Amino acid sequence: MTGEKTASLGRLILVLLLGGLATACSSVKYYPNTLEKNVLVKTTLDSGSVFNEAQAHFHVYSIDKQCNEVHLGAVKLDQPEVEVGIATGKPVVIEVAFGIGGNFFSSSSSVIRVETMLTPRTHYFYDVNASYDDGIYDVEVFEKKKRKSRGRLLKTVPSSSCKPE
Amino acid sequence: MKRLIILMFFSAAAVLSGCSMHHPQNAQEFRTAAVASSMASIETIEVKRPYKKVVKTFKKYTDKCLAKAYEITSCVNGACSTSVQTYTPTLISTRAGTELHLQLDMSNMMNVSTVSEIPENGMYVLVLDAVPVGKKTTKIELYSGKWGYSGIKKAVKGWASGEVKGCPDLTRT
Repeated sequence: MTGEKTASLGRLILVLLLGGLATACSSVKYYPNTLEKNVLVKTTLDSGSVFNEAQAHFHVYSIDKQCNEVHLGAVKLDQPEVEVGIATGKPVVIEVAFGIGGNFFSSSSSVIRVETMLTPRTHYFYDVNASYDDGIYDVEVFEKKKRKSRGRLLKTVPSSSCKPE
Repeated sequence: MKRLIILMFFSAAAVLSGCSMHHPQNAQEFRTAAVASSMASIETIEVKRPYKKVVKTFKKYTDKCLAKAYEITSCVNGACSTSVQTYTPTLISTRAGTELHLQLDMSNMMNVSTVSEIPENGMYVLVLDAVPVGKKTTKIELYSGKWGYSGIKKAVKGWASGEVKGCPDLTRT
């Protein structure tokens, strides 16, 4: 085998190894996000330090009359604004998960989950304002009839308050 | 993992116990220990907000932000372990004054053994007293370890002053 071929093979193995690692380490089920977009998630994340880098995901769960939740998937909040489409007319649980640390430079990781249960209304829009800044986080959900209005702040309803019918 | 345990263990309780191997069993003991310990912090601030508003803000955020349990995953040399930390806040409010206590239970954390009695709901991390000073001002006294828990301290002071509207990341000590 020539030196050039050996180098190419080495690069291929490296790419496959990195790809395999990325796949193996990524346990997030991605949300298909194919429905008409009715949720705008606005995210502000501080860069933190290399040891405490923050990431955020927006999770969607369906919840049935017996309060059983099914995780429909997550959308990575890697842009300041991300549009998501969620089903209307039936209860869902939406959750913002802030992941702190857990990268190459950090030996510990933690996840902060902020969830609320709601029944999205047809022809309504929802703004989710999520922030993590210098160790302080906040998530607010607004419901509005027009895209550009401020809307009304929805009270947080934990999924644990669901009562089976 | 070791660093985290050492930091939390010492900053939360051992520090305030003055290394006497006695963990404060209630908020008053925590205050007394803080006064006696050079490794404790006692901050006194006055905020230009009426006492009623300050108390309302504490009521809003105490359960929402401080009654939490977290899973912490730590990895050393590829071996990972997960532990649960449970925070329990207590808010006692009267017209004359308000107390906010925060306790941390990490009894299920691996590699942590305790040599003295731990109060129910865990060790005291912080005690805050708020009292009205006139109609428009509230005095805050915050007892805590000198090191660690900066996010919690920043949050409770910010709630009092109205400058912080979110929750502290309790996983960052």
